[in-house]
Amino acid sequence: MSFLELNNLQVGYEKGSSVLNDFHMTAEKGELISLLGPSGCGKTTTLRTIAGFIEPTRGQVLIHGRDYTKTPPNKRNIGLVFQSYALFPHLSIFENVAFGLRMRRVSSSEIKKRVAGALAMVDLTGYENRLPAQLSGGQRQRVALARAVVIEPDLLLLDEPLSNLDAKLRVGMRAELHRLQRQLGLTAVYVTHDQVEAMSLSDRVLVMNKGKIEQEGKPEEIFYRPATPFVARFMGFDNQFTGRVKSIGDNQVGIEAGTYRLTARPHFVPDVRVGDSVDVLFRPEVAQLQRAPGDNAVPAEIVFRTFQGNAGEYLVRCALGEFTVAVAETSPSFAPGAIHVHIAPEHLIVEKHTDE
Amino acid sequence: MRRSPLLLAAFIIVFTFLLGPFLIILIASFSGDASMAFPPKGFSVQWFRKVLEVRMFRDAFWTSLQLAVASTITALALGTPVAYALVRFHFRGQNLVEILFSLPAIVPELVLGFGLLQYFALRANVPIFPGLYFGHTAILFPYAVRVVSTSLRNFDPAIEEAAISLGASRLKSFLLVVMPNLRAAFLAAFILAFITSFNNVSVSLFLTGPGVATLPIQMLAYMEMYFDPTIAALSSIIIVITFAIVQTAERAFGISQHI
Amino acid sequence: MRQLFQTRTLLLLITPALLFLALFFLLPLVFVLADSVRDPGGLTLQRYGDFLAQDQTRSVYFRTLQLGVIVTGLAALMGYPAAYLIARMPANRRALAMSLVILPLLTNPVARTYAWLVILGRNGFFNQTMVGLGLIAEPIRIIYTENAIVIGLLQLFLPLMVLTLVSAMENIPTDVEEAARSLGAGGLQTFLRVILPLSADGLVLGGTLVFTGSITAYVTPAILGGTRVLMLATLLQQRAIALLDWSGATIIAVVMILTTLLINALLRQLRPRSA
Repeated sequence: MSFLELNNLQVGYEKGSSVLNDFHMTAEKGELISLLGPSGCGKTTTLRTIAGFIEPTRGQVLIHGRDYTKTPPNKRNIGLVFQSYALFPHLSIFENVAFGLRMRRVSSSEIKKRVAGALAMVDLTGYENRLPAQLSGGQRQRVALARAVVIEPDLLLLDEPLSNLDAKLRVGMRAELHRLQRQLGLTAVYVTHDQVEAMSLSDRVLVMNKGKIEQEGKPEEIFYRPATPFVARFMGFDNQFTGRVKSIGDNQVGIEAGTYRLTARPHFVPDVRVGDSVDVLFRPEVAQLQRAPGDNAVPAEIVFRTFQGNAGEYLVRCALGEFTVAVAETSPSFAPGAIHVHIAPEHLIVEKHTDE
Repeated sequence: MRRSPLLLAAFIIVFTFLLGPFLIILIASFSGDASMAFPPKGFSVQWFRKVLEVRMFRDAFWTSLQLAVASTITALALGTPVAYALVRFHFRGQNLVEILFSLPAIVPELVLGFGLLQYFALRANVPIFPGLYFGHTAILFPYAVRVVSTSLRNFDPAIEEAAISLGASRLKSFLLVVMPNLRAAFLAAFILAFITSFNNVSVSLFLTGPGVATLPIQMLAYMEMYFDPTIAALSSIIIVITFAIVQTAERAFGISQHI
Repeated sequence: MRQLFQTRTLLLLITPALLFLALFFLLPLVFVLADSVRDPGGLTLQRYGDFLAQDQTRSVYFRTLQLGVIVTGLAALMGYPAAYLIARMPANRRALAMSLVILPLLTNPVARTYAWLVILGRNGFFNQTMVGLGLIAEPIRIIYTENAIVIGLLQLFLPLMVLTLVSAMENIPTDVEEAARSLGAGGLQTFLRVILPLSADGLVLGGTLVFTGSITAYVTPAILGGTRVLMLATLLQQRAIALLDWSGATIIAVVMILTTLLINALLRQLRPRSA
């Protein structure tokens, strides 16, 4: 039995489409699970249902074996971290962090001790008497974190906590969060639309789309072996073309696309037969530009190049379509004109063709 | 349209028109004699003294004060939960409720006073003061609901949810977290409602009786009998007090944003 | 989506106020409405017919509407320049200006209207000044005329119009105006083509408030019009208190409500985007 279980959840509007339908999810103690997906996919709804702000029309929310489905949100021992931090503007940092403890009628001396401990954990000792308005975004986020963990919750729920921070801060805070979660051994559910965040923090990732789980598994699995076109595109497999299966062998698929033959050696061979239509996907980072023709290389024409600091992107056009090729700054530069695009067989994924 | 002289002129005219009369009546209340001529002949504070001596003004002031306090508190106490419901919940009939609570601002107060007179005072034999209280509270609802809901709308709902997730009941969360941050709105609503009730004539017009008269009604009654600067003096006092309240409120928490 | 424990909490929040409103606001109004059409014999609209047929009541009604239109028009004319300037002021001066503009709204109506008696009276400020400057030969009568009422109502309702317009104009970003100017539009053009359309919503709202306020106002017509120039409100009071003609008063009351509601409904349709 898992620590957190969501069974057969149905959450939705009174009539018509539900946001979540027959939704299942589990988390083990101490795990950090990410709910990853575009806006509207239902990840925030799931989080709020676990928190108790939304009541499911069907199904159960079980924490540590207990059924919390009908329990009001203030009676669940859950720590919440919001995207907007949601600090109490009129209370000092100390009182903000102490709030949950006061609700639990913890003694004053105990509160002092625990708040001090929590603030030390997030490196904000000395800020007790300041007001939220006097703190920077990053500091506020840390207070929000301290406030959520000081109550020693059963579960930590985070709703895109880093979206409002600037890029540099985000990376730092990510590491902080990870460290804290591990240190305290907290089971956490993390909602985000940023796949880098999800990949770097999670023990397991659930990729969601339109209320359904498209794929769930370890970050590496999702990253290297996307199970559906949606997941692939979400993970950055931006380039895609269609072809026909010419041959299938051990871990190998021969593909015919237009007048070209390519070999793919994907991590998993899809359930296809010779003659089936397939989608072939690859990342901009794995494609290589070369002057000479060769195996798995397609003649193409450079349309455009953008410079992005220590990296660059080429837009190339070939018979199979338009592709983006990402290159490091140090790689040789190609002038617009005819070249070949080469993709190594291991970097191609093959999936049964869908019309999505 | 930069500082066009035409605009500036229009602006000055408007301000003079709006505020000039107040200055004039201030000057007139220091008149030395009983004629209402302008400019006033002589200088005297006798009319101010007279105001404080006239018994019916003192009684009426008391009545108006009690009435205003009672109805303002009631309107706020009953109206705030409604504002909260309208902002934080989504429910069928929400539009209807919104319209209902803004009706007292649309329906002519005179008619309400008339209705209350007919059915409460005359037929149900409800005494005058409660009748006044009901009528005043009713017309204050729109102020309470509107001012509070505007402020509430600008308050991040996540903050309440944070409080709830930390263990506070909805009520506790409202009292501990929402209200302290809506202080300015409550004060603004209180002052606006209080002034509206205190100044009200239309509802109180029909609901006057022996011993129960609000200050504005008494002023009207006095004016029907006498035409001397006493009313000017009383008016001046009222104007100055109103001005002081509004300016203080503005400086303290920017009341003009909440209207 | 149903949030936890919604229905129960909701009812708790709304019911007390709803009950109060129903009992002490809706009920009296419903009775007034009912009484206006009731007769010993049954239901009748006869008295409404009488209202329109009788010279006095009909002329008072139309005069009230007419003056309402005039006040609204003047308020719009005077309100726009003032509101425009206020909306473009820096925040602290704007707050000061607004707090001054709303003063007539918050002042005791008797005091406020009394000031006009002092100004517009035979020996009042206006006449004395005009005679003193040699602009007129002898004092003219302003009190107890329609003009006096218009002036009095204007002072009361102009702030309301300014308030609504300022609010509407705050939402017009300055760069839209600047764009118009950079493309060659003069002052009036910018106003007609940019400002007016974009603040039209506020204008209609303000106009509704001013108009309905004007036609239901009591104190101003009572003091500045007396019994010589009656408006709907003073007519109502006269019938009810002075003449004890309850049924007559009831009809006037209902006419008042219906007119107000009608205007509100009509103008709500006009508004380009209602919430």
